[in-house]
Amino acid sequence: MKMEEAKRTVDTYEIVHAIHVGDKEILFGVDDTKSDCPYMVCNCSWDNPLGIDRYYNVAGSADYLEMMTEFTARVKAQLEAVKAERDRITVPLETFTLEHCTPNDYRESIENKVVVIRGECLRPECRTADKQLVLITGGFGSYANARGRAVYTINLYSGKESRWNREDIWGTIKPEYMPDWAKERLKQIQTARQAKHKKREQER
Amino acid sequence: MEKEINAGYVITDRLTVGNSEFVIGQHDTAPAQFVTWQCKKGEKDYFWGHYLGDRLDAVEDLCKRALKEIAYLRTFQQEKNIPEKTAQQAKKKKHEPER
Repeated sequence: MKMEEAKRTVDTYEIVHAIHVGDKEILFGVDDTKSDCPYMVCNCSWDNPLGIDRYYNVAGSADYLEMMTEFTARVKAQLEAVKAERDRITVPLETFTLEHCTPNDYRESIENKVVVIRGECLRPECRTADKQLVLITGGFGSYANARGRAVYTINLYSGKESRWNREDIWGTIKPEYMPDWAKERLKQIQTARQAKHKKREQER
Repeated sequence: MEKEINAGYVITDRLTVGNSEFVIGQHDTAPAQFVTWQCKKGEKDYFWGHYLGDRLDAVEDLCKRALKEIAYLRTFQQEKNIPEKTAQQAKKKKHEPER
């Protein structure tokens, strides 16, 4: 790949530094054509069901050092937030590996099944059970012999909805490795989904 | 883009401050999975490795190193500005009409 192709931009700013911590990325952009404000710092998150980049909290300046200080301050704040979140987690944080799963078989549907997200698809600090266990709720990639890749999921621990690709999944979790907290959460999520479905049916 | 590897560690993050660069390296099988290094801007001779076992600690260390460099450059800027200001003030004084 050529260097030009790998360039990432936000508006007219070329992103020269990007540090990803937890569920957020802090970006540092440069646009030399803007003499009054050539440096920009912003946050990026994908906290939506389609996983689309969302840029916010933008700050700009003509002073590189000022913006770099802002950038590092934001990274440090995000580090603290991730550490605090980690401390709040009450379930065991072991990592699931391929041996805990029935490997992904593309001839079978994985809809409504609990699967394990591949460790390497998650940031190193997120390779823990609470981030790996998800319930598949749909998407073209979840069907048997699917042509599509998209799978929509609900995280068993946080309840967050996300989009993954089928190849990001190791497989369905073997029942003997399913933790008790996950069984409990699965029941709650399924009950909530059924109630939602019923409500929709009644509205029609 | 090709991955940059130094001493078996894949360079995953990079910050540039002045003429210095700070990087994080990741090695999944090394006893210390993460390292932060410094190098001169545009060069690949990494030095002063800080070896760490957790990515969050590595990112924190990277920020600390960058902030230290920022503080150093700020002091350097201020020192540079002081003689300039003094010179400007002296110049101004020179132009003041003698009373």
